[in-house]
Amino acid sequence: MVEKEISEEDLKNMSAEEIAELQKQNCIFCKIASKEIPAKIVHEDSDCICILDINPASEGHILVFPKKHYMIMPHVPEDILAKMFKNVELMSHTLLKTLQCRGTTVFVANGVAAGQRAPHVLIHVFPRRENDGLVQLPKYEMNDEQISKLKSLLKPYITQVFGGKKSTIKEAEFIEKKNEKIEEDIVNEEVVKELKNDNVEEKDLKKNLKKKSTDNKNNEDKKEISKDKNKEKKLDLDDISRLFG
Amino acid sequence: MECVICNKNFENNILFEDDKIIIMLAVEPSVNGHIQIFSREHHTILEQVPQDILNLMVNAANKISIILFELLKVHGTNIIVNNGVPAGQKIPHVSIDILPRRTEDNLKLDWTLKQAPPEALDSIHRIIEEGMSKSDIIAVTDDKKEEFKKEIKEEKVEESNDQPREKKTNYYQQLFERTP
Repeated sequence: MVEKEISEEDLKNMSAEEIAELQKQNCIFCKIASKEIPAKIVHEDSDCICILDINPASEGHILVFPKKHYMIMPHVPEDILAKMFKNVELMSHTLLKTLQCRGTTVFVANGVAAGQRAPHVLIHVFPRRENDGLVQLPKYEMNDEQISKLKSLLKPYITQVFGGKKSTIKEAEFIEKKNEKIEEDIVNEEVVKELKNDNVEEKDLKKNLKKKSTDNKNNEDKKEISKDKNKEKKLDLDDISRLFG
Repeated sequence: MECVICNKNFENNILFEDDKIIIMLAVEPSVNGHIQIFSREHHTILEQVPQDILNLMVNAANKISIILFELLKVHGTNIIVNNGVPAGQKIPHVSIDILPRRTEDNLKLDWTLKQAPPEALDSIHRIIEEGMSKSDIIAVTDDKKEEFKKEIKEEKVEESNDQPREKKTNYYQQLFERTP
């Protein structure tokens, strides 16, 4: 098969699926999984494979990855993720027993900003020794205000995603009530004045607000987030994974 | 039990909890938005956690990664498990850390890429393969984990017979108390 030179224009015209297909064909880890490229395989099962990293952070650095191509961890389905972490635990246990180290680190990078170097989900498992200078987590001072702001931002969303248990029903009710109140406030405040100038009826505004997400944020932030939330979610993850294209 | 998580010393940081997992703002954050997921049951290191609870924790970590992408508009996330004192594990209770990352933050968590010589890789490969074939590490099921825990207990009992000390149920827990 003749290899075509792919120009930038071609890349722009390609759909997301085609770009993904192109990445998959050029992915070193997919080739290792299909045995096209040799590697030091430590353990293998039907869905995952564990190999020695040729650029190790420390002696015994193992990479655990799925045989199927996924770019970042949020793309991996639950059952394969479970198998991957079963392998991770196995590898960590192996390293502790065979290399006489007293600790291991499990490290995943999602996105170039996080240090992801290959367009394939990889879980790094490597042995740790005292003062090896690896993966040093610095300390970040946070004052009470920052903590409470972060908490109020994340808690309702997390409760919504993970909730459903008895202990969280009260919180969910509270969130609903608070959001209704926020909607009322929004309707009552300046936003209505502005939009009235654009000839938008109050009823329509209320309808739009109800469709939007139930985050517990400021009015400005709420406007930004509420635009096509589902679309944004897909774009963000795909944007990050596309950085490798 | 001296564990700060089991004793709920940081109850204010908790974002969600149920009978299996606890999701909370990190006890000692490294970045704004650093989140930690703990198991409700006390386990000191990753190898002791039963498979079903590990699955719950890992799925939660994945969902929280997605939540951080959406809410905090971050450019990437790191998911880290520090297993053992040399790995920088500060709390003797298994946790999965999720760190939101931006391109302009000054966090340097990765390592310099240096290719290892093939002989070194070969020898490590041999050592690991031998180790895996000798011990029954491969068949790590939940039953084996109980055995592993018992082994550690037996070792501890032997040691404590020599030096009268407070009985710790876990070798790794003792490791935390030894290090200054």
